[in-house]
Amino acid sequence: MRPRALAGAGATALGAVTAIAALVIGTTAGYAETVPSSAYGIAAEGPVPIEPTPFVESTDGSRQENSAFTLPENPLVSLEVAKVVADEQSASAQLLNLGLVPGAELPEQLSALNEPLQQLTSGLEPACTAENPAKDVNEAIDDLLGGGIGDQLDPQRLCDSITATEMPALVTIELVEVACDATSGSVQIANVALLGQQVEIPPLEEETPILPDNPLVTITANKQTTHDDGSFTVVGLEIDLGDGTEVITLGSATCGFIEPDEPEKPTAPPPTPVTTGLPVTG
Amino acid sequence: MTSQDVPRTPRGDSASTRLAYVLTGVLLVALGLVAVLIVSAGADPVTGKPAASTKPAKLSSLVESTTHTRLDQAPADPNPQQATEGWIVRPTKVIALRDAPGGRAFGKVGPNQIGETWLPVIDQREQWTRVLLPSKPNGSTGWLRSAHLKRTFTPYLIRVHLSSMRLELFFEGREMNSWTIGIGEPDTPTPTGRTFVLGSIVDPDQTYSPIILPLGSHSDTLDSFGGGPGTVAIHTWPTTDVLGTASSNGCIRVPQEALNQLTQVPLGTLVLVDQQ
Repeated sequence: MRPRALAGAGATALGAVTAIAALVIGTTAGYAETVPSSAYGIAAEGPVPIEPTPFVESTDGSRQENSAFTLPENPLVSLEVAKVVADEQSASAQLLNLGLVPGAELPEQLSALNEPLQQLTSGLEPACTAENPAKDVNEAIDDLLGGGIGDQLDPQRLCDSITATEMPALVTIELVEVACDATSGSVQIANVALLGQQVEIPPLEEETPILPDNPLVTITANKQTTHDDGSFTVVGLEIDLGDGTEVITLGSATCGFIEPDEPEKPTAPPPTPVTTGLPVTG
Repeated sequence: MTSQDVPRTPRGDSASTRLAYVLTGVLLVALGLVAVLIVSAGADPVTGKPAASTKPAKLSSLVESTTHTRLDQAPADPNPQQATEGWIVRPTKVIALRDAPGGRAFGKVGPNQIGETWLPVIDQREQWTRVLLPSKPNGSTGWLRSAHLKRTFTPYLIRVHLSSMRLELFFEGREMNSWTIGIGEPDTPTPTGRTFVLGSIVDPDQTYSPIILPLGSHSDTLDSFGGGPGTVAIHTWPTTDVLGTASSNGCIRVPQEALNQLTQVPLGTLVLVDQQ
């Protein structure tokens, strides 16, 4: 049976988002080399680089595992547990209890983002200090994103969080799970919370515009790529800050393959002569 | 304080700074929506191709393809001088021969006739396999349902050149050996085209060759010969003066050394006969 495009998406009141997808591609037969499978939990490129952590690679097709309970010190991402697995033609990455911008502040290394950040915040600047701050915050978010996301947040709690001494992480995600199997991939993201408030993601129609163009951040979930060498990568989340200034990858699984040796053809044996009469043309 | 101070401002110093982070966070939350959108866009199911139906054949009414029979409805070999990859098949039971994949049944073939029946594969389409046949006329082919075939491989190829009266034995694409041979005389020429080693027999009624290798082809001029159907074969001859001559009734006469090697060639091995 050919790989089949699957789709599944949902959202619950607890803010769970699940997405499963499979990519239909052509056969992988005919590649001349072996490409290892690999996976990693988190990586970042830019002023705040983070080496892929934890990282695992299977070069001989055997199952390899790795895990991490801490990340290299950085101000962008925190997590409790990351586990990665790779074998002959499957790989997965599982991240638990992620915190994005856990200190709720962009680091100095990302000062280049100040300008686009200011552009985006100009509409919100007076929100929490306005006459009706809750309403202003709510409307400002909706103006930006549409889709009623702002309605899911308690504006007063947002303003309280903003003015609190100890702010929670900007965004927490309880689970990011990324997996690939040969040429199909899946991504699961569960329990997303903004400043401690879990957010419900409404069901979407196809081709619904989600994010307006903005110079600050683009986010791609369930990014799937088939490489020239025949390997296939699925990325859970790719967060691009400042148009490539800083690119953070959360959960990446690459499925390679082990080119099998040319199978021995089952060669027929010499025939055993049969004693029989059959006049031939001589 | 302006929002330009955001990255350097200590926590709690600026509500606008906090709001900026909130905005960023909301954008991050939207990732779920992005994921859902991506999935929705790729959700078209792949429709499975319905299986083609093939009318069952009434085997008892069909003629079996053997060296003794003639199946005029058999499709002709489309490439009579084309070498194959070397795959050969043997029916696991008596099955219908069809004129196309899933087409009309015109005959049948079974697992044994002169010993085991091994037929060279000349084409494959999904669950169908096209083979050369041992029945008349020369160059007959038929389609078999692949599910009822045992499949194996022969690394050998035999080429017979009539003008030069040479037989070449190839192994895995390389010429192993070649010999001068005797061929059919002008009135009873050795037929050209693509055929195969049909059997390996010891015929107690013949003394000219210890082992005879009947092929899938037949004389085009002798409908029967010596009580047989005119089957062409490879064999030795008691004297060597026939080698390098066109003096047989269609058979290919080879030296003993050649026969020694040719009897090691699996049944079903392709034999390409040309006028070169």
